[in-house]
Amino acid sequence: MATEMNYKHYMRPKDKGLKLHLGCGDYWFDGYINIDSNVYGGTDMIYDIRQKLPFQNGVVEIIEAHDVFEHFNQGEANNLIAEFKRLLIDDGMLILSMPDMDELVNHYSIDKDKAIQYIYGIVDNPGHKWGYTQDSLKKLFEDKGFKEVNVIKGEVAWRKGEKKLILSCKK
Amino acid sequence: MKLNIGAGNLPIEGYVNVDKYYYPTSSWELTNHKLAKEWIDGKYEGEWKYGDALDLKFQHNYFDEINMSHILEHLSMEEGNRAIIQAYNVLKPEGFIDIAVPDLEKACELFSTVKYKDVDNSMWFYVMGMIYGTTGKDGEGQFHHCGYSRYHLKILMEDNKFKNIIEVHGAPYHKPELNFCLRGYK
Repeated sequence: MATEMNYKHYMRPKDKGLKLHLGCGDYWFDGYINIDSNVYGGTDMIYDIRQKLPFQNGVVEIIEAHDVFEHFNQGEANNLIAEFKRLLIDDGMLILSMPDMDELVNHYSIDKDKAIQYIYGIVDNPGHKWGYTQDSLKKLFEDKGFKEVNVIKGEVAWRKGEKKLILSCKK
Repeated sequence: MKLNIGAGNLPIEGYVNVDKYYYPTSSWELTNHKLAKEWIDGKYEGEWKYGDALDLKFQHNYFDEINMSHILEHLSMEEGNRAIIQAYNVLKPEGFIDIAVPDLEKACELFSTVKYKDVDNSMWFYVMGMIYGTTGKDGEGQFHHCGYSRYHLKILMEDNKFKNIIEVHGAPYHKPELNFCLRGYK
């Protein structure tokens, strides 16, 4: 009898799950599993997120990925979105940030050399494969069935001064 | 002798056509049906060879003309520099190179005029394709890793000792209003 009670006690609640930080780089998030394909200062788990992630369906309550999404081509991005849906619990949160394509292109008329670096991500490897604007990003995630899709123009605390798009939505 | 670096699916008759990737399908028939069929059937006996723009296996001062059409944007900035050095080495003195690329300046100009709409986003995707390459259905080689304006390409060529740089007509299948071609002499 005692065994059964203990077993129930250790079941994972339906509304709680893991927290994943994908493409973490040097930025380690407390309480998250910080995943990157390379060993950086923040890496807990070395994994190429273009592969199916080694987690059960619907066990993640929040996924964050910053300056990651633009490094994938459109096919890879679609696969990744399908993975987000598979991993998240119902109402689970997805938060992404990435460069604002409108800003990158506007920068071209100001400083061509810098703009090329920003557009193609030459400073970081393996570079940018696609870009997003406020409208295109919102539509992409709405079309994939995410709820409360919100895309704002802003910046993230650890990269002050860089104009980003910040997407938040729920499964 | 003439060299066509990164011939892709557009081999040019009379040139030594080299490419790092092999393109068995797609739009060949639009360009040169005879060559395309021979290439597909493996019977092509012309001057097509496997060749990497970053590692050209030809002796120095060998070619009179080099064509490098829509190659540079598929290489990183550093690789592009190496490719131009390689081309310079295999070119004869007085020989010239034609380098064609999409016009990044024009693409950025266009981008600010096309808005992403709910109904028809074809122009938006077209301009994004000019900047980042195709959606990747033809493999890794189709992505753009860098972009150039006339100004930047001229500097890159001059830095690598090319002289008398002028603008010439590129291949007719690349729209002249969206692409440009610069010629430089050794």
